[in-house]
Amino acid sequence: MKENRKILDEIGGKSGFTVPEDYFKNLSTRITEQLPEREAPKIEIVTPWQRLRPYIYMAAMFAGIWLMVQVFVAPAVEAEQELTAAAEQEEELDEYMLYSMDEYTVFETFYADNE
Amino acid sequence: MAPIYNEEIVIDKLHNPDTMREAFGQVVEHYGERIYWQIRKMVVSHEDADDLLQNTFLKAWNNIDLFRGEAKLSTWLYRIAVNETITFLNKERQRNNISIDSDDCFLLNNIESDPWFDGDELQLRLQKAIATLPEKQRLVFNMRYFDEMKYEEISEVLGTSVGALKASYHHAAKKVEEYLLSHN
Repeated sequence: MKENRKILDEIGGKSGFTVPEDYFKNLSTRITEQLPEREAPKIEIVTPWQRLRPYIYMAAMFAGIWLMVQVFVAPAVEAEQELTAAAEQEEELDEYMLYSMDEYTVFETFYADNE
Repeated sequence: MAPIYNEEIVIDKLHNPDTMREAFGQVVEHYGERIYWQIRKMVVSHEDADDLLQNTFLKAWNNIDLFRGEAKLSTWLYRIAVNETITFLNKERQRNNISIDSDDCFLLNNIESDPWFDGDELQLRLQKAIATLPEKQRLVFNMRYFDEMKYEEISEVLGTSVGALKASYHHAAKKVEEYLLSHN
């Protein structure tokens, strides 16, 4: 293998290819002369409205959802809370009546109701 | 005297319509020779290499907006040159009715009468040995042996891992050496 490497080392990375005289000297000029004209890149002007539009749309969407909750969901919840509160109040009143009356009055009340 | 080449400044100028042509001239001046030799070693003929070099820079010019500076400018140019070269070789194989599995020795048919080849007998044998390599191995061998490019740089150009490139170069060098010894 060492003998083999010796061959590649002997060649020393030289390909044997050549180029016409002054080929590289004129290369840049020759190539750039042949380049076509380029149009200036189009710069898109973004207006403040275009920049803010997605955020405004998102805010409007959230406002809409909030409004719908206020109109449809909130009154129903409120009514339910009121009913619960009223029921709780009635139960509390019954309990108060039971505790504040003596046994005789309680039986009397039951009998009166049954009659 | 040519201005000192500063890649960052040149890239900035390339994105400015007023300075892009001048900056591109600097790019050609700076990388033209290296890219030429890379193409030339693959296609052998000077005329073909010259055409492909012009196509490479023309493509680079037309697509300069796509260069965002993520890779080095040299890597980007090498990639374009490799693509141009491979496309050319495929067309040449088709034109010469050469199967894809065959070697590219047909490229050396006229090398001995080529005015732009003045290599000795050993260099001629080396070119013949290189022409027997598969295309990818030939690219790797040329970049490593002649241009002494780092594996990391070759990896960026060819999109192959450094480990695979090392193995590829090892196989290529071994085949070239065997050819050189057996055709002594």
